[in-house]
Amino acid sequence: MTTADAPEFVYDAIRKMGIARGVASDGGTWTLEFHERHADDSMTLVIVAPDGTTRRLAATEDDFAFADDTVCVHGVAALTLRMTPIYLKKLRGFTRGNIPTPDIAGPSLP
Amino acid sequence: MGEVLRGYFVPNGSYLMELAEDGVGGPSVEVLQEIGREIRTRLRPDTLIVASPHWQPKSGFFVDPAARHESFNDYVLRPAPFGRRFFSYTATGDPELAQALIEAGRAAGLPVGPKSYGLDHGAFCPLKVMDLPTIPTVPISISQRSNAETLLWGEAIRGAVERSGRRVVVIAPGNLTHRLDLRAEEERAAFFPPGADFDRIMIELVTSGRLMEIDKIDAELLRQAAPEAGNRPFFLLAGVVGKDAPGRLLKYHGMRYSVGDATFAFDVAAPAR
Repeated sequence: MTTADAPEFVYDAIRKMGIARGVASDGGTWTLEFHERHADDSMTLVIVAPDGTTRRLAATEDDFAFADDTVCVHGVAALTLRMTPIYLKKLRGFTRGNIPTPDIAGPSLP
Repeated sequence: MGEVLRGYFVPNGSYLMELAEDGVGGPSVEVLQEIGREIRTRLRPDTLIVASPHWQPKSGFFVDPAARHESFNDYVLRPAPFGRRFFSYTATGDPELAQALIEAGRAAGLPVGPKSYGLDHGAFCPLKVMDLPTIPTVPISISQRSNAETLLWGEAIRGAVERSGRRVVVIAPGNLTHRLDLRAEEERAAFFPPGADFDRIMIELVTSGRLMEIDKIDAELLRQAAPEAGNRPFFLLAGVVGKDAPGRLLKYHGMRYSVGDATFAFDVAAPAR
């Protein structure tokens, strides 16, 4: 397993932020930053492209389609990302309300 | 007529699975294994309901109605002394009871719905150490709702179980003090006086059947202790077993690593509303 050295999903409990990293079909690495979960369970999502440009949007769990080793973010053209299945499942759980054990622990959880 | 056989509040740290797998044991592992034996051989429930403290949506309470549940790893995976090994767990579900829980919650006026989720470590870690994979299991969220709603949700769950004909054990994992940020790997016995105070108060309230007084704990102490899932596992259990039902303290580790691992068993005391 290659999960030890390069986690593809981490939870930062100081910033209350989940951060996923996946690779698009052209080899570029994209980052999905989940900045906030709202009362209706929608999330503020910031998508960081390989060139550093960002796009901020509101997303719900229905905006994500998960396959065995990919996640497709609806509404974002051609954004299908490949991830290690163990982290893909962690991301899927996060979109559905999971708060993981923090990789970066904060003074108040979640 | 169905019944809730017992409720449990148990720790859920992923390190417990490593200690169990390595045969190291230790008090928290051994008490979970003893609970597992009790459930398998004496209580013999038809179904387990498990409310993970790591499943915390905000919009409502959720129930996973799947016929089969697989775990996913939501704890940190990297070489380290605690809880970094890959574990998995599968269990059959109980779709019929799951649907009954949803309907009971809605009938109580609560925002309850189905959601495909699975078992995070907050649910599957204690189940795995207790060795309960052959018992049908219904995962439910603990959610970020008010304590009052969580209490009502627990009462609705009990009512649904009693109408279902099922014999059910309800497990609501969590920790008392939960300051993971103070738990440095190289500092294995970090002492956190407010946490020790908080744990002492909690144990006194739980074991004397004063669960509702948890709401009256000093807000600053509560903020400092940061109990897992905001103490909601206790309000859920209070709804299930009765607000005045005392919990039996099966094990308390003390303030180790700035996390209060406590294990309580609750016998059902009061009639459902």
